Amino acid sequence: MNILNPNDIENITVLKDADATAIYGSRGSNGVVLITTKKGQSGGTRINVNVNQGFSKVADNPNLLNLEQYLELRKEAFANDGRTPSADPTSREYAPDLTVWSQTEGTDWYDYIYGNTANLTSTQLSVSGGNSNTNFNIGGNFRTEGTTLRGDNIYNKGGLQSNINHISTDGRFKINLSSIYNMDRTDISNPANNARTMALLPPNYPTTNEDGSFNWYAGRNVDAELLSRGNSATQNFVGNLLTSYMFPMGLELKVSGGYNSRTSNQNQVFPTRSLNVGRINHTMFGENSSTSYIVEPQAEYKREFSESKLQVLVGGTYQSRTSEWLYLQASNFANESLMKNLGSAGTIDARTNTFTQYKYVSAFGRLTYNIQNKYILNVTARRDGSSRFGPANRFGNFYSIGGAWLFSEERWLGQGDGFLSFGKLRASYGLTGNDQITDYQYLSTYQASGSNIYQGIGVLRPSRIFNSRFHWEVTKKLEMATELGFLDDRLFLTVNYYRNRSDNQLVSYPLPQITGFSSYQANLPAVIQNTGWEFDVNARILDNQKFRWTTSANITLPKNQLLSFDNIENSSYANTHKVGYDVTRVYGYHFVDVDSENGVAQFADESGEVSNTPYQFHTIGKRTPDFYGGLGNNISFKNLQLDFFFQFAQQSSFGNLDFNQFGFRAMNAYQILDTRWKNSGDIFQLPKASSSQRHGTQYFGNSNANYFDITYLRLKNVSLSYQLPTHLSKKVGSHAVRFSVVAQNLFTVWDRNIPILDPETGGHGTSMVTVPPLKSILFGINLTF
Amino acid sequence: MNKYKIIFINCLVIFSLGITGCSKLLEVESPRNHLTTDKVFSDSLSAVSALSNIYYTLANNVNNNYTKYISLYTDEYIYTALNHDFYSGRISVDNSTNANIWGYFYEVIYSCNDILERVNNAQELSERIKSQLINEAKFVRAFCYYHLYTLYENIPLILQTNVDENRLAVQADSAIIFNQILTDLIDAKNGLSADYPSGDRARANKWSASALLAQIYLYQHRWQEALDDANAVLNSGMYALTDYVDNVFLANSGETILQLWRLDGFISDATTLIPSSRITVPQYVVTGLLYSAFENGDLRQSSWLGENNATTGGVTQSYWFPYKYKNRSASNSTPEYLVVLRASEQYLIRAEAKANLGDIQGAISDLNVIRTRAGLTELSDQLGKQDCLEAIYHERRVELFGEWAKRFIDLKRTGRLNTVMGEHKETWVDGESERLPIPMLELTYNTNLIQNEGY
Repeated sequence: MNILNPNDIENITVLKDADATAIYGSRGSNGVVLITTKKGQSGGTRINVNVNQGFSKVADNPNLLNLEQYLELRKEAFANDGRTPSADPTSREYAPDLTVWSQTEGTDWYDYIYGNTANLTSTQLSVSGGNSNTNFNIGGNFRTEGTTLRGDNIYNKGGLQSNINHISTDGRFKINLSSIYNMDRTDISNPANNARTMALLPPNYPTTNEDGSFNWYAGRNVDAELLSRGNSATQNFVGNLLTSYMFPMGLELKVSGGYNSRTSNQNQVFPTRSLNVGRINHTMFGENSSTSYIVEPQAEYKREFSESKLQVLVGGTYQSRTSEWLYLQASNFANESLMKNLGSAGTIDARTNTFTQYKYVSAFGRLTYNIQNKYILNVTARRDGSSRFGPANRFGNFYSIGGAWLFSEERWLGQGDGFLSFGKLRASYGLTGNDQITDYQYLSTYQASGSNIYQGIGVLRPSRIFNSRFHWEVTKKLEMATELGFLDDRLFLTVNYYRNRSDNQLVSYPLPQITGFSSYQANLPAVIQNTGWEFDVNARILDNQKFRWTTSANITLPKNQLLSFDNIENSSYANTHKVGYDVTRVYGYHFVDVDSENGVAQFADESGEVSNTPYQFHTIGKRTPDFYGGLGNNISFKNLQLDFFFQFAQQSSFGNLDFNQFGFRAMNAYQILDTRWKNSGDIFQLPKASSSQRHGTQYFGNSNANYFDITYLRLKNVSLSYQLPTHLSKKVGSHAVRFSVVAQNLFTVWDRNIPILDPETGGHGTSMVTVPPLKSILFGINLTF
Repeated sequence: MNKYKIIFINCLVIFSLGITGCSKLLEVESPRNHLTTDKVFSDSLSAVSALSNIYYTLANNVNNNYTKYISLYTDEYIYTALNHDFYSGRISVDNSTNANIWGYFYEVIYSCNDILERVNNAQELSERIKSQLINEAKFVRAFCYYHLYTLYENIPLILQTNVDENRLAVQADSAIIFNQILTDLIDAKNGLSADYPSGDRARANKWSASALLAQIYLYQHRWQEALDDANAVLNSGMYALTDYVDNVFLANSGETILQLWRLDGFISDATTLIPSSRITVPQYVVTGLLYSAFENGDLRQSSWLGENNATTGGVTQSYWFPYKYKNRSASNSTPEYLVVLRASEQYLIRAEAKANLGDIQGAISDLNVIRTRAGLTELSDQLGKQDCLEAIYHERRVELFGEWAKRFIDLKRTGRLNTVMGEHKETWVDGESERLPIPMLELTYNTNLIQNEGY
């Protein structure tokens, strides 16, 4: 997606049901997003210039304790255990945050790391034109972007794209060539990867020690880690050729071919000073290249009868992708200003060179029968082959059937002329296959890793527990929908129900490490069902020459269920999953309460009784949201246009609280800790601060006490644009002039007391590691000549 | 428009010819850094590469995640940075270091089992190579089970590679585990030759198996057998203590029975254990207990401990750090390999076996070999049995600190673990802390496993 320039996109269509995605095969097993890029237009030559300038900042900082609150928490933790903090590093009571570091000056680490304002400048230029046979569109774009991360960080991207279209005068022969070439470059400091742990450093954590060296007490140091940098450069080329010929008898032959080549080079430089004590300077060099091509011939036959139309499509796909990856880690650079040069390294520690190849082949046929544009029937059958499966399991057969009834075309309903302007019922059922797994998992191999050398011999280690039996994952998809348009489609309603079932999902089957590995590739012997309702309303509230107002709203109510699981008691899923429950089940300890006498958190055993050895697998929630949706408005008045879009969801997630934050470690905590147990008799949901480990401390983070309902409403997008009246734009010699302001993530309504970073991405894991959502504003001018 | 038609029909014909051989179209090149398992064991060179991986993993993944952390867990080291579960003493079930220790040992065991199965069926390998590979794999498997047992006690005994059986394996009785360890080691002792299979002392020979057997018999209080195996090693004529304590850990030192080869001649933990500058607080500091356990004038105290002077909160003090291995980066002149078994310990094993069998004079004479090398006075051979044993325990503590969890194992097998650790750590719980917790994910994915008491 990153290679496309948003201004070159003509439209985006999303296909989900089995019937609509059938001709895309396994590539479309999770749905298909069709993006149509802009083509040239016949007529005079047009030049379009688009210039944008924007700014962004981190949308929200997490609610952490300030220095005063933090010190109070830590002192209380020591006092509660009757211990005295010490300044001696070899003491068990060593607490430099209370005894050595500043007690008055604190830093908001989150703001320190992510406090920058990022600038963005982008420019696009395109030229299009042609005549009724041939037209073209050629464009270029350049974009330069900063980041909100501390330090100088730059992301540059530039690209060229072109599109040439030709149609013969008799309209039978068509040919289209499109190509995109893109390159980007980044030069970024590394702490982005470690922001989560750094944000929780004590507010008074000094970046340097008394002797001037960097302070690594907590294993992290923002200033030091800023000295390490990552660079990357990527080049991407995509070419597509589509040609077709229509024979007089209604047969059209088409061939499309595509080629994609991507190369990228990265290096990450870690000077000794940027590294925790005990590590030496090193650079990681990476080089990836991948090439893929695809050929898709199709033949389509159309025939019209008096009352009906028949359409037959047969086609095939052949796809091949080859990827190569070279990775080197070099260390012991004598001169740290030469660390991007492999030749200056003292030693090469790691050498990995991988090569993978993937091939996919398929053939399909589709038959469409349409009677009076009222009854439509679609049947597709296909056979797909994928190199990701063992030789005996490579091919799978899939089919789908879909029908639609446009009942508004019926005479007794006024053929769309009455109150009901459009009415359609459609249903589809089909089997889709999925091969989206890692290559070669069926092979029993040993692998070499260049740097793993013993006595001068490159060692060979077992690659995996191989499984030659896994095969295509098949999902049975059922979908039913109705589309209703009222009053000339001013009000348009779509209601959609889907039910997808899979009985052999391809999974990385988790294993206890006593097997030698932590997972292997397998089909899950379980039936998993996804069902849901989707509602979509569109209304043209005002629709006249000067003033237009359209509102749209959608909501999805998803439900997931594990219907059955053969022999689940003896599978690796016995504890983690429950038949009848959502497969995204979240399990953990069950928090009972905080003992009001001594402030200790209490957890339950399997039967729900308070216990010192609590049960770890209580159901505490699911990751599937309860609902999600959006609300959009487009308002235009004369030359002024205002669009805004809200997004909302109700879901639940683990928070980032863990027991280390209850004063046990020198680690900052969230504001929510203000409501912790402090004195005997306090009734609170959060236990007391403590500087030592006790039974039960480890359970808190994985219990329902750290699991939160998150509901949010976010103004995702607002844009305001103004088109200069023609008589004014002519004065500047332009065909059309448009000014625009676009803002993203302007505000979010949610409970900020929840100890997570962002309600949209949830609490745990990756969301804390990467850059949080940005609040941004972008100003633009678009000129056409 | 005829030309267009012709182009088209040609294209289609070419394509349909292609698609007829569908299975052919899906043939992919094998991944270039992988070798199919059959090929690995059809050639002695690649089979040795597979075996070398076992030693490589021990020297790196296992040792890096294991040795220094167990020293923190006992009374050998202090951790001066942000609290570490192994130092504070209460290891949570989801501790990642604990999961690594368990996981890497079982990863090595898998590799040993795979080699044992594959080599047995390999047609192209000579009988001599087969026997060599099998016996080395058995030696390493026994080494892993011995360490796993002392850490966790309740462990599954995995002897083959079938995943469907292994993933549901139950914890084995300790007698069965020891029986297997001894069977493997006795096979290895009988099957391996006295010569090392390759240059350096970096792969197991007959005496490696004997030396490990002596350790295990000692653990089981089988004094006579411990004495016999230690005797066999020390009488082999291949091993003698180095004259200077400085040279013990050098590559191919004369007292090394088995060492793990290191590219560039430094062990990977050295960069962590040896501080980067002389004025910072080292991350790993030797406890006051261990520092003061050295007698006055013990050469090992000055050679095997390093000293830093650092200032914290305005106070300057000395910090002692483990310094048995001295190379912090690549060294060509004085390379160091990671020592697993050395003659010095065999003297101490023999001394302890003799003392328990009532031969106090013999015990003291062995003990004095170690003491003399360390520059200490000889002990009198008129000690009582208990005093003699105490002297041996003491000598083991200062001689073997920081090596492969020896302190932990010694305290455990001599029944002193709870007393010593209970005094040293307030978090120590008798009956619980002497075993580490089975890593949480093991219990999650294998419902047949039972957590150790107290976790």
